[in-house]
Amino acid sequence: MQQDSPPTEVGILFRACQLFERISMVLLGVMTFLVLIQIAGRDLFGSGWPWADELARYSGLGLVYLMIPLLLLRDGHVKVDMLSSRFTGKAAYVLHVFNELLVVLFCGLFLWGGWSFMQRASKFSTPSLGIPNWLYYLPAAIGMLFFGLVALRRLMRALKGLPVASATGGHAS
Amino acid sequence: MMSLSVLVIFVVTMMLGLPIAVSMGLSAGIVIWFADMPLSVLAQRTINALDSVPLLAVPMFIFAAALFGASGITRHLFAVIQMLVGRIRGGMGHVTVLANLIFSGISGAALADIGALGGTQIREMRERGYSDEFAVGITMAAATIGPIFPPSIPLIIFAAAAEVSAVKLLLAGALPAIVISIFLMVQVSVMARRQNLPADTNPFDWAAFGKCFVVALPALLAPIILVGGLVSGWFGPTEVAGVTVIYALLLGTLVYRELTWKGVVAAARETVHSTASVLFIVGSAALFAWVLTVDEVPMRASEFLLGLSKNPYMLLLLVNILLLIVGMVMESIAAILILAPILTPALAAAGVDPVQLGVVVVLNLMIGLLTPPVGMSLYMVSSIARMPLQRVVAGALPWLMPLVLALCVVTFVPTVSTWLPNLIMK
Repeated sequence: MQQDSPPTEVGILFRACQLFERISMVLLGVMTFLVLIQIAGRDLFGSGWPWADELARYSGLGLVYLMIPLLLLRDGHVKVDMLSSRFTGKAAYVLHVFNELLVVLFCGLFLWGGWSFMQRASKFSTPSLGIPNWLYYLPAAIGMLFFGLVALRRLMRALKGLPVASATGGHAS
Repeated sequence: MMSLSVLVIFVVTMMLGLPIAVSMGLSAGIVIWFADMPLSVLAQRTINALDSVPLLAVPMFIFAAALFGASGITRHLFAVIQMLVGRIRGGMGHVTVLANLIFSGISGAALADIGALGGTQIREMRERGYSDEFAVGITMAAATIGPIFPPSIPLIIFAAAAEVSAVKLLLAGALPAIVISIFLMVQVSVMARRQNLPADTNPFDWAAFGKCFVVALPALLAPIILVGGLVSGWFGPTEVAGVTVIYALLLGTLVYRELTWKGVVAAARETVHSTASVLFIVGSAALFAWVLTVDEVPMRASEFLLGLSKNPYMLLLLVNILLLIVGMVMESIAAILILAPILTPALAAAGVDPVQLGVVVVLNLMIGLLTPPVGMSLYMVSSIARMPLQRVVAGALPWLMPLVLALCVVTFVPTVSTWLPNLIMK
């Protein structure tokens, strides 16, 4: 019985994902603040601040990619399970493993593509703040790397026939 | 061939239950791989799509709606409208439509509206003896007003994807939102008579209404302040989302004093979850759209559409049929990103105003939120109302008629969309 229960939210992977969630929440606040000071800058001081724009976009990018591993961990990504939820027994097992395998394949392709993208992009910096591109894209790389690790973990559990999503459950989107 | 492969892989993997973002990204990735194109495109297109100022509106609008909910502001709005129209037969249905119309001036997404108002609406209707199907149906139908009335996340995204003025497009949604509200209220009246729905029996008390109105006034003023700021040029379409957040925070802490630090943190947590789930799809949709563009689908679609007819109304009718089907199987923001660059040049060449097209596209896709298999409103309401999906789908059916009628008005009477932006932004 114990073996069939959903994984509890402990361990390095869970803690890292929870830390990313907190960072994402901070980035949300930073982004909102930057958008507001842009309005103040333009309407009150008559000057535009492109650096604020760049930093707000950086926050938005980081927010999304740092959150996706936790969403995968909790089965919170939007999906259509009207058909797949009808499968039972062996067919459900095979479909489950196949799906998890596809998620791992997606991560592999993305990280591989990301690596070759960075070979070229890392030679440049952002236009306003001059942040090196490797640093600008780092949250996306970290997010996808952990997304891949969560996907691997889910695949392992699916192969053993165990529930893959954590106990906390998903988020209705 | 590339486009067909990407579409087939996407549909099959999505129906197998893969997250939509993954099935889009994977289908595009596999095709890129097999076509011997550089895989770096996969990361570059996906990441660059999210590195965008217009998309910053998405988290901020979701955050604002969550803060309004956590501040009890939605409760005050609901109370004042209930006092006004609750005594009409089926009054809670009318309250739901009007509450959504006002709240749509604050939020910019259907799911945010359902999240902020849905629970209260369904509970109140159930307590008054309305059927579960009626309660969930009107909740979902009224939420389609949110993304049409300014401010609107889908309209901002359409504007960015089709390179149309975002302010014009936002203004264009105001009258169609009122048309939708009127059609929905007519349907509420018809169903109220058929189902013998109750009305509030307590007499109208001017003093109580006045008190309730004063309490709700700062919240009622929000849409006016936000749209006014947008029109006057004080803030842009993305910035209006930031202003909404600060307005919600100020109302919640200084005026209503119900917003706690715990409430802000919970709203922020809810926001980052919803945002990541939506924008991850958007990133993958951009890659998907890139594959279609490389395969010259927009050009061929444009030639195909113009080959069928040059009559703008006929083309709009075809687009409606296409979008109603697309809305059933594709997430709305992803569909906008893929279809806006394809449809806009073709229809503009036939004489359709891109501003009107934006409203038509978004309304179609919002109707898609009520249709399975990818009807996000269905899933969300099913979870809130704790009802099986089949019953929620049954509840949605009667509301498709007024929504499709409103779509016909928006399609065949361009002035409904174009009059206000042309008047204000001459």
